[in-house]
Amino acid sequence: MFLSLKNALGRPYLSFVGLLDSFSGASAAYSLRKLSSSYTGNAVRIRRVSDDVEVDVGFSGNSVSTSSPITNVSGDGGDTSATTLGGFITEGGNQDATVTTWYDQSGNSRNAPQSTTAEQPIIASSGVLETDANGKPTLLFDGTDDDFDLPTTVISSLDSVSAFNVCSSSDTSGTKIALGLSRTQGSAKRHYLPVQSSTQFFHNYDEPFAPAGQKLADADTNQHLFSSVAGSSTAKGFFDGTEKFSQSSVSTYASNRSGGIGSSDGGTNWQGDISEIIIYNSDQTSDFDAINTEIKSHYGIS
Amino acid sequence: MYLLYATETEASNRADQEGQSQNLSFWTSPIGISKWVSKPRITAKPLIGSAKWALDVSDYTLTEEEQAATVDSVTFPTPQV
Repeated sequence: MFLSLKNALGRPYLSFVGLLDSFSGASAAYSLRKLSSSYTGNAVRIRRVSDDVEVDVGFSGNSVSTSSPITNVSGDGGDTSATTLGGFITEGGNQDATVTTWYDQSGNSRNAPQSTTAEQPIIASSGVLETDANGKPTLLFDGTDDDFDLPTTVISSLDSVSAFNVCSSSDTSGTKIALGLSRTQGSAKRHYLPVQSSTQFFHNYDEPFAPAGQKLADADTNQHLFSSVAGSSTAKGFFDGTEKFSQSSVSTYASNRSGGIGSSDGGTNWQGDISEIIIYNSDQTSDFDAINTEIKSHYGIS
Repeated sequence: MYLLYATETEASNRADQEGQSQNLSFWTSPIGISKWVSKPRITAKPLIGSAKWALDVSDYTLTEEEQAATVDSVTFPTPQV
């Protein structure tokens, strides 16, 4: 008897199907899970704090874990005999490790680097991988200066963009931005997803800064999916897949001079975890609910 | 603990020097990423004179002259949001 098991999208379990296989065309996609069956690269490049040795970390199965293979060793002597992430972060004692590059899985090679050691987010502390409440791997941002430089080509307009960000805040006070796609400069408008301000989460779109009408929710320390979609006439902000506001879209945008993931333009840095960011430089209204559902299912967000 | 420089270039040159001194991967391998221990940041514009560039040198190996020139804190511009 032949059994044909199918996943939530109605596809057979016989081979891996990632989010980007089902919803193609992303401009950039960063995650610690594998998002595409055709992506053969690594998830992240990391630095061991004790000796500055760097390695690429691949996927074990379809996720980063202590079993993930490590390759492309560099550093002062490039010294490691470990072959897995777990071995690397426990070699010579329990080690801390930071991320130097979050690789883009979209196929566009829009990798997000951080070359300054003090500003690299943490992936492992004392030999243990950073994980979210459900045990899935994540990256920890310090709220001071940690961020990644988002390539300037990720989007080109604020009226043709869709973005998804899985993150959690560890301190609900202060002003902090997890994803800054566009900054205010001259006529250019904001796109922050989210910005935390006055103990509330906003998707700041257009101007002014964090108006009441763009509030997504009261801030907390739980993991959430923040998402937004903007087309030629309308922009919308969503919290855990539920629409929270809608307004007329605008076009003029300005890319970051530095930062972007974990900050806006290198400042107002996020404090907490960021697990996954997927960006389309297009209006994904037709697939928007389905993408939200897939992400929420993976991360156990209700 | 910070050192202050008149220009970004001067601060960047010191950051380069420290990155090389600590054998960060950018300087030792063609595939290395980590270049600097800390990055120059511009300070808040003073009422008189020009803004200076600050380098957090807490994890740097400093000369006696540099040690004497450090300041404990600096004021950075309020981020524009």
